[in-house]
Amino acid sequence: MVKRGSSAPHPDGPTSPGASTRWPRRVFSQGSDPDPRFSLANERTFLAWIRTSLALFAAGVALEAVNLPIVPGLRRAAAIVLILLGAAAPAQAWFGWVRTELALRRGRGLPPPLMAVPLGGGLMLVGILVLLGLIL
Amino acid sequence: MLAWRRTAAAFVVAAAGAGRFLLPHLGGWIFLAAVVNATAVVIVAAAALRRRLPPAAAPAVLNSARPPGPWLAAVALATAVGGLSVALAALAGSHP
Repeated sequence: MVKRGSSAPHPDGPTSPGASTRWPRRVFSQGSDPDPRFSLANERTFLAWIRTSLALFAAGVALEAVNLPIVPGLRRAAAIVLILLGAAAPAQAWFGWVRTELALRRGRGLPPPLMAVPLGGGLMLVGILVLLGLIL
Repeated sequence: MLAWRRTAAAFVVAAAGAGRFLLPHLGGWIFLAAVVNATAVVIVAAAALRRRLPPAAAPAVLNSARPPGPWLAAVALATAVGGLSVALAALAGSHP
């Protein structure tokens, strides 16, 4: 991994200027500034989760707003699952960004996305609900 | 930054879609949902403007790329609140 000043060990205290004024402090008070490219990639991942959230909300609202030939109960259940996933995605975006930034600053391995399995399982459930709603 | 512009465009499209759906139901808390969603768009657009690229002629200081923590938190919160408000309005509106 390419890190600015990588020849120095990673102390627990902040090594970057102005670290005490940057928010969230629990992130910027630890380790040292990573290579900016990694921070920017982390920011892009955050934005990708935000766009995923928008898509999930849009799908949930569309299921309810558009009059599709789906059994109403199953359609509503699928819409609620999509909306719940859409509400959870911004949380993953923020906490994922914090955890990754912390790992980068400490020079440790990157954490896995916590929402990957729930998102996959939820989308599979939505697919099954819509399929059943179309068949029944 | 391209990713910020892409996200801002997605928010504008979402706000337009939500407005199209919510406009016939203006009044009460559905109107509030529309206002919250529009506020989310403004927050994302402001965050995107703050992260725009400097002019090409400006000196590039790569190690000055500071993650905008407060902006990211605001965008995440606005997405959750705006999306939930529109979704709840849609759920309530489709089954009165």
